[in-house]
Amino acid sequence: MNKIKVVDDNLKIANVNSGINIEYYEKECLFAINEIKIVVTKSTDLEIEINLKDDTKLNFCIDLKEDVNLNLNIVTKGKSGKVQYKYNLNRNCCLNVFKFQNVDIIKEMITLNLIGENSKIDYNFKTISNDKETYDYHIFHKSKNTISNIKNNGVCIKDGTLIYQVSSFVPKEITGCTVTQSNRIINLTNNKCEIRPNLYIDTSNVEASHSALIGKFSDEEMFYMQSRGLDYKTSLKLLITGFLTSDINNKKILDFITKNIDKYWR
Amino acid sequence: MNILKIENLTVSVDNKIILKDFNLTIKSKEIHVLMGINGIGKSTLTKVIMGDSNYKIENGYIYYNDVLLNNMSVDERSRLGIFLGMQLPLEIEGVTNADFLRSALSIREKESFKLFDFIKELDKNVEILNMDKNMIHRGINQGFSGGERKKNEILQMYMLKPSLVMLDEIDSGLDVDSLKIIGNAIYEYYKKYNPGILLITHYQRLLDYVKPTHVHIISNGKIEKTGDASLVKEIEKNGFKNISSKKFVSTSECIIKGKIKNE
Repeated sequence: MNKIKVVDDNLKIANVNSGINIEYYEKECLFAINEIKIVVTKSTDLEIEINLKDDTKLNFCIDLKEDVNLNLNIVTKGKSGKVQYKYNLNRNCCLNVFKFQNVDIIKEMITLNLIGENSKIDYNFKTISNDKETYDYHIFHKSKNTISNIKNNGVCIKDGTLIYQVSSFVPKEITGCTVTQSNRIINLTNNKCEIRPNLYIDTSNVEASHSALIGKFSDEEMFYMQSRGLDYKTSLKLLITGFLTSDINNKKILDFITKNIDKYWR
Repeated sequence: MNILKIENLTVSVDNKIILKDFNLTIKSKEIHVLMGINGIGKSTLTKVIMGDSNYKIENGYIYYNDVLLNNMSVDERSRLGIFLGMQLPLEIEGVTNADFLRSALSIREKESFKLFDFIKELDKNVEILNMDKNMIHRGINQGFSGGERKKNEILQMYMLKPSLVMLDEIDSGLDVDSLKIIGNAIYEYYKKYNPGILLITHYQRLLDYVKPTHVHIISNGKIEKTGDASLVKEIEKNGFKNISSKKFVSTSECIIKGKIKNE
């Protein structure tokens, strides 16, 4: 497995085989931001582990060359930061992102550029927010027959707030695209959470859908679980586990999610 | 001997009376069938026994083995041995059937819970019910057909081994072969564990496999008529209207005004 480890804004480990090129640009002045550029030329898997310190600032730029499939697993932990991801997908590319994070404060900007025809992204993100988390997505369909499936699941606890702003763009003449967004927040606090799902579509030949849900688990779900003898606490833990682990098949991410769930729901 | 006793039970939802002065006793080895027109309160009864908080007990008592259930939580009732196989089993994303059952059993059995025995028994029961083995590793009822969901309810019954089984229209949505499998599975469970059973159904077909000892017709919030298995055939032949002289009223027509008084 190709692996990159980042501590604060420094690239610590980069064990990668052929097919992945990494360029690391250290900031040259005080207000600049370190950037890690990853170029994928061959189909492969990649694991990125990020450990944020205090107000870490970091940029990632991930380019997928033509006809490349990348399974990308990202785990983020630590304190606080601002992280920017920019993905560029060329013709016939397929990017599968599985991402989980448990940090205190984070502001992320994610830009997905579907540049080449038939490029596709499946983006699966899970988080447990116990402070302040904001995610701002821009998904640009720049070629015909491109597909974006964005799925965000978050659980809000303690002092947590969570904002998902997800904007998908399909301009005129870019036809045959599929644009899907699913955003769900289970808010176990009285704090305010927000989902702003936007579809900016200027063409008629497109398949688009979005769903947004903020709330608690339904009474019916709790009743069903408890009717089999599970107490409230165990039922809630199982429902949260299901909510945060569905569609994740990477063992390391699953273990990390489970460990975090055990931390909050003993 | 396990006994469920319902005494003068009055239940409301959103200020509508659903059940009024309802009485019923179910003992081990008895198979009771509850019939009646749609919306009359059959499912309400099972939900109230199970402790669904959407239903308000205005009056009356529910006892199981002399333990008052009225203020007991849903999970406590389940752990007393009460099971409800639901009419529309929910789909729960991400929680696998295996994890769900393992958690439910480990809470019941505590230290005596053995994972290996659990897996062995689960595999055996999956085979009895002719289910796809992969289903136990999928989310609860996730992507299941109506029939598969009903089989999953029966699988849960087999694993949890309740002493009081309530099955709400377990025969709806089943093809002929699945009905046979489920009908036989319920009867085999009955023969092996002798539970008290409360079946809600609209049709005779399930009762070809599970022979009832008591058949009740519910109307106006209470049991209107009780008989044996022949009553089901009579209903199938003549309909509900010709069974009772009284008019059958759907619960939605019974609107409670002010506080309910004991009659």
